[in-house]
Amino acid sequence: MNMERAEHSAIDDSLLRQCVHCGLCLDACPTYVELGNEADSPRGRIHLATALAGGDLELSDEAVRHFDLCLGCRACETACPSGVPYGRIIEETRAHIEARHRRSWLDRLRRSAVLAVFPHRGRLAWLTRLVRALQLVGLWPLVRRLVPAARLFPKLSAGQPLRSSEPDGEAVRRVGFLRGCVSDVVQPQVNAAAARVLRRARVAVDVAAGQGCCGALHLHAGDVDQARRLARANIDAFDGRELDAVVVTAAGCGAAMREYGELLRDDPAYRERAARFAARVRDVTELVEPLLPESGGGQGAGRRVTYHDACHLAHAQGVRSQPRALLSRIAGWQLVELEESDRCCGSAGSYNLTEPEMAAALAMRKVDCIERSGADCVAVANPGCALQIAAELRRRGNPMRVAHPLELVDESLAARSE
Amino acid sequence: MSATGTATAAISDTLIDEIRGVVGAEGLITDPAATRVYECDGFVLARKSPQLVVLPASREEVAATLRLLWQAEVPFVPRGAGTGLSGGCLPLQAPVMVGTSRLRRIREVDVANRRAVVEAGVVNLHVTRAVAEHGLLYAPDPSSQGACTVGGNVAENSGGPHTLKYGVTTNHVLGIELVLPDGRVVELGGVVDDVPGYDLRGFAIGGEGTVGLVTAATLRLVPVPAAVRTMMAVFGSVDDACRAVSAIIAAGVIPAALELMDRLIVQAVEDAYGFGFPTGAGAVLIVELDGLADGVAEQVEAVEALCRESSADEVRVARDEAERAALWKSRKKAFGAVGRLAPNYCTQDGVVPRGSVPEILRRISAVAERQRLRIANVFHAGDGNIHPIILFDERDEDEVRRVLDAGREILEACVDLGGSVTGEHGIGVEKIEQMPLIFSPTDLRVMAELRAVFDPLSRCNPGKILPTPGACVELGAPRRQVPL
Amino acid sequence: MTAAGSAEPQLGGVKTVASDAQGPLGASGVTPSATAVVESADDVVEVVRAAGAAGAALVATGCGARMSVGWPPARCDYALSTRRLDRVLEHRAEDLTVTVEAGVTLDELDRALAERGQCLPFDPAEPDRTTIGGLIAADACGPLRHSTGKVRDSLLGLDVVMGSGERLRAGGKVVKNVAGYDIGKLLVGSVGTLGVVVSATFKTRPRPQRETILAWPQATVAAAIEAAFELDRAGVGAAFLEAVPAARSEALGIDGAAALVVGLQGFAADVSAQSRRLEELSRGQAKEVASAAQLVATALRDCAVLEPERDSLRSRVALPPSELAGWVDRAVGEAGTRGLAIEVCAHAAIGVARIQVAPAEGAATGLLAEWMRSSARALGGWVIHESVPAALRRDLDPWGQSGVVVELMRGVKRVFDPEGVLSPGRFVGGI
Repeated sequence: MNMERAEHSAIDDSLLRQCVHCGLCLDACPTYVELGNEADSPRGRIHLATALAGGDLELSDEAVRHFDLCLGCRACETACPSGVPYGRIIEETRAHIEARHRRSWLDRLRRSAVLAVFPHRGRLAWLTRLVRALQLVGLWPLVRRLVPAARLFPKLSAGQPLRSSEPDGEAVRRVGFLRGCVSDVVQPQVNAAAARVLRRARVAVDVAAGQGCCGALHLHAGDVDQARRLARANIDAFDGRELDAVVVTAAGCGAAMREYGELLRDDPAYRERAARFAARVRDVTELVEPLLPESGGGQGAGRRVTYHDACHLAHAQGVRSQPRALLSRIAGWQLVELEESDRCCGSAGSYNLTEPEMAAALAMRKVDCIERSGADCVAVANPGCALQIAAELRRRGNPMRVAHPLELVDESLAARSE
Repeated sequence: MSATGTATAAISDTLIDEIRGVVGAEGLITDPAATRVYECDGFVLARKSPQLVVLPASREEVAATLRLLWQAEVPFVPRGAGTGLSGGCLPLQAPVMVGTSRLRRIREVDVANRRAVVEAGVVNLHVTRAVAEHGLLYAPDPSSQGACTVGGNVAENSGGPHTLKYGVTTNHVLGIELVLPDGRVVELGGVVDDVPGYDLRGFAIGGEGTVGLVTAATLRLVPVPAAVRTMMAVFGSVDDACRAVSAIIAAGVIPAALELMDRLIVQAVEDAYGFGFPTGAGAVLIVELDGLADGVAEQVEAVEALCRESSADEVRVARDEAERAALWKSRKKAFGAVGRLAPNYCTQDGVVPRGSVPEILRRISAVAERQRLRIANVFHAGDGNIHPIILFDERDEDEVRRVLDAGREILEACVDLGGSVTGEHGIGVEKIEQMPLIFSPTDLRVMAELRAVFDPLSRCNPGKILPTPGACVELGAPRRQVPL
Repeated sequence: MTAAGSAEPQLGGVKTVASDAQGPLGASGVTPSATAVVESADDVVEVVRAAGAAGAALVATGCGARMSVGWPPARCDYALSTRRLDRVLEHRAEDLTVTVEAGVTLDELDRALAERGQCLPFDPAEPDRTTIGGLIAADACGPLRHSTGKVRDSLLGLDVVMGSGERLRAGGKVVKNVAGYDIGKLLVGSVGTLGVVVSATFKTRPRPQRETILAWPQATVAAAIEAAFELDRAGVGAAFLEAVPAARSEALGIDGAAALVVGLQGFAADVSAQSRRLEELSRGQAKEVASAAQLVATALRDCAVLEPERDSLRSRVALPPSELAGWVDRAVGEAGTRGLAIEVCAHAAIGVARIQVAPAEGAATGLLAEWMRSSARALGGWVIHESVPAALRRDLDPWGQSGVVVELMRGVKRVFDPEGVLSPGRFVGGI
């Protein structure tokens, strides 16, 4: 059976066997909670993956559907008592599917369109310029009607490219800064705010040349080879520069980079460098929180902020307390907790482009909770989530602000120094 | 890993269309890839896929579905979240599974009268979350409470670590809404606890889904205790720890929880996570006390003194919520740590009178020696509910056979000491064979006849609980079993 | 069947004694020809089988304190007295469990448990005349129900002789057990219609370290219920909260007024803290009662059945707790307009009241009984008329249960007692 399995599958049986089938992951899974179908739950998908790996399940459209619907939010990993690495299982299963399953042309087009734009900074910039132009001449509403995914684009403004910087006085840390593709182009103000906050925290910022896309979207879509190429490029870009850490403002990128060691484990030339790189990756909130002084309160002027846990920050990186501390302790806002704060908003990388229906249902659920919280502003540490939540708020005509925690910290620090 | 059931009735396309007419396309699963994931619950030794899974979204849809199945003479199995540990929702002799995952409404929270009416598919923990702002909670808290459903809890009469003081599900359910196998809807019990007639609600709770499908329950809520203190005591031997347990009970203290871990578990936990237990610790006891602030403080002192009198090497009282969480973590992480001791493990569930805990532990050691197996113990010492964890490697066929034998021998020892073959996992398909150990042929016949009062034609979850010719299940190799 | 010609009359080989109208079945209004006095489980089996074989009806009884519950038996050829099943079989103090035979009274059992510093978690009226069998059959409860629940919550296992004459074991002797169906629950409150309990295993509890009773005078019983509800919601951890009418307060050492009587039990520190809390919340009006707590507690238990020999209507009403005070107010009004004198005691914070209607001529009592039931049902509650005056006994349904559930209950009865030997006609739907 094992030999047969080796021919059938690239899915690592030892990972699958860690699942004891207890079902404690079920309620953590957004798609199971929406649909109630066990096949759309982590336990169900592992069950199916085990059958695929064992070669006793046909790779039908129906079977593939259950894997496509997975958001990859990894909330199940937080709930799992046995430490099952679900994220790795789903990535291996997707690679298995992409290598063997022929999708419909429409499906292929949708999937390749995403990957054709996102890893390429130039194409993405071109796309955003086009969007801005359409917005200026008033044709945007028409586009939104024709292409549903276009609703995600906020009103765009031109930004300045991020540059390396040294703090005034002696630096307490030196960090590499990954700009990220979406974040840098769609929300340039976030990286800019992060850079200012790092500077105030006396951190030297190195925006290494040669860096690129983190590869997360490729990995989620089952394109492992391209993901590995991108990972190697980033490792090359940041290696040998004497950095204490590599930071990023996008949770999705951080989560992917922390797994470069796993991704390149079979690459003798990169295995060790990748593990070293991965160990130095930090979310910017995690790095900067202990370096900043208390606010003394008041900057938020009694305004209430609530915080959405991005899946790739809370579940994949275990970062939960630092962004909250930044909001309340440093920025001085009143933090109100969000119901189901760590339930996926449906953005999930390119998910809202490939699975618009489920993505929309989850966005509604998320914004329902946000509205119930009574907050004046919602803080989000991942660009995908920010776009998703902002789009749903816009659809409802709710003017609530969506901001990265560091934007609020930046404003607060600026106000204090005035 | 196969289950042998009798041939199951065929499902016609007409029936499928009729059911689709009731529940809609989103409430019906026919694709073999998807029905396959329903082939087992948390008990993985026996498997069988249903041909059809129906997920009704209301009591009316459940009733209409069951009526159609009744008319078509097709048996069905109810299923909640599938976190059960005895195969209670294995579709053994029934081709159709009716799941409650879309019955998720909390219909009513009556704060003044401390009760809530919730649908069967509501997750246990969601009840407590929904009422927490009013200073209330739903007391039964099985370890799977983050995923298991109220309907499943009712079917299994679920317990949890706080059973000792607060009782089990049946003590907290005032009424249930039950759809009989023929589709009729009945209310058993009610919103008060003095409903005239035989306590059919009490009979249905713990009926493992064989008397109909529960669509909703009226739950009793209790106030959150004013004070909670958690402490840990380290002993040189399990016997000393058991003496401490007896002394605590004898002193008139009823802790909210009393959990015991033996040497093997303590070592595994220490090696894996480094909680700082003294080397050579033979047993660790976790005691949780709750109630009114003054009395709890008094009890903490008393328990600490009693543990020291029973030769505790160390007693730690959690000073704050963080320390308390750390103490519970050592208990809850125990199973993760066990995974490091052997490739596979299998958890048993038996009960002995509390005073016989030291004796059953001795007998478990003897079984381990005789069968050449390692067995670790972590369990609810307060109510004599043991969970021996048998370590093994499933690639060793002879060892697997010895694991199954050891499990049987341990249960027989429980019965011999005046106990029971299950304290909280239920009979399901796993322990049907053991039923005659504790019940006479008359007892079993009466159970079968009472079941038939609700389900005269055995259409609802056939082949469970009671030994019948068709209920024979061939158990495969135990895979890793589930934390508890 | 009395064996003809033998020196001593017997039923199934068990000695019988002559019954008389004032004997243990007196309150049910029927008189059996003889009473079999059983001394063992085997005796019970023999007697039940003999009665079944003879097509006779058999009513089991202990001291007869609960014989008024339910319809009068449709037939009663023999009585079975459990009074000689009088052994405490096994008190496992370290397990907090006790196994006891059906004929032991609650007082007797309490004395046995006290030797090891424990007690039972229930306290129905007349503990000297209430046997374990009667406790289970009538689902009897008292003030302590507020904190420790009902019989069903503490019953672990039963040894029963079914109406078929077969012996059945339900549950077990351990505190946690989910093996098989929970059959014991069916026997609780079954009024002897399913089987004769031979012995039962219960959870016990530690005797409280300290016990204090406070009384808080109130204008009316309804006001006392209101106050109890508030105290409970304020988090006062009481063992019981009893509302008593003015007429009964004298027996408790409180003069004149209706009162809320609060029982505090437990660790010394808790009891004194709660006592202080209560004085605060009542602005000093709740005062510790002078008499010994034990005496007061006994008096409170018996509130529900004072003067049991009178031919009064006694009813137990259960409502959602927040509705009880309002309902009691209305009940007092309804009784007044009908010229009836009623007394109300209540397990005040859990929505249970005991109503006693003084004997009266005419149809008024029956009408009030009907009003109680319909008004309680409208609020989701239930009324059980536990003792019905002789004049109404053939017409007033003590239970008021109907529908599909009664059909299911008939099925249960058929399983236990296919020939209808035990207490025929006493139960719901004439079961």
